[in-house]
Amino acid sequence: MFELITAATFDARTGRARAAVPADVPFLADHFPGAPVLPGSLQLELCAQIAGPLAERAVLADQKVERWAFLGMVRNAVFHRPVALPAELLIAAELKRVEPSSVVVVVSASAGGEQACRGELVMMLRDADPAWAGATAEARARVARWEAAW
Amino acid sequence: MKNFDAVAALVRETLSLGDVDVRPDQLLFYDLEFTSLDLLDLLFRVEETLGVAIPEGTIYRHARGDVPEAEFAEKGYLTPLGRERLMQLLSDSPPSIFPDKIHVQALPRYITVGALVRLVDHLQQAR
Repeated sequence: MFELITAATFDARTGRARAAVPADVPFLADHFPGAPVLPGSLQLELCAQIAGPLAERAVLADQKVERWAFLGMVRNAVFHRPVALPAELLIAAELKRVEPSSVVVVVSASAGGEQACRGELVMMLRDADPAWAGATAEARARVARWEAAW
Repeated sequence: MKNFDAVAALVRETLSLGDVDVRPDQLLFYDLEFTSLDLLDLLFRVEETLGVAIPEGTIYRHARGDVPEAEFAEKGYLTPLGRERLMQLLSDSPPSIFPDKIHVQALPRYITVGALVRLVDHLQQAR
């Protein structure tokens, strides 16, 4: 899903991003034929793409350790309205709690000026395995591209 | 154990256990098959329901007490003194479950429901 994010910005406690989801995403072809709608799970996944870097930066700032964030739990998710495709989404993320191995991020996604979903994402933080070096370098470059585009 | 009924209900809720007995002597990870995410989920529920936050490292801090850090743990593992202090704190957990080398991040693995309730009672009283 990260390829659908076009721009992002972060400060110490928050992140914001824009995502552009076209109507012809191949894996959404059945959701639904003739009336494409972005599934709620993918709205949260887009939010997690922003919650992840925000959590990693928070743990680096607070704990002075570089760790990588993975979505571990979704709490209190609410889906207010369907998001018809194509859609431009605005994603907002804010730190709620920072611990060495987990970070809780309050997220929301809006489309057409109205909130589509909100919830809390629990991002689990793990030390980077040296075998992930390629993926972690690409992740850093990707976030840098989003920030440059904001 | 003032908060036993409330914590037992939250344990059942976390694991979607339905109406089954939860006992103080049950080990969260061994008897109830908790995962680390289940524990985190339970602690969120404890905080929201009982108003008691149990941050990461709480068991470590309680077990260490006033023992100097270097005497309690070394290179990420408890020292023999650290292991002894942990076993004292979690005295209702069977000694056989404590391995010789205990990673400092693994301490919640050895906790019983009863020990969690004692911790909640203690933290609630300390507020």
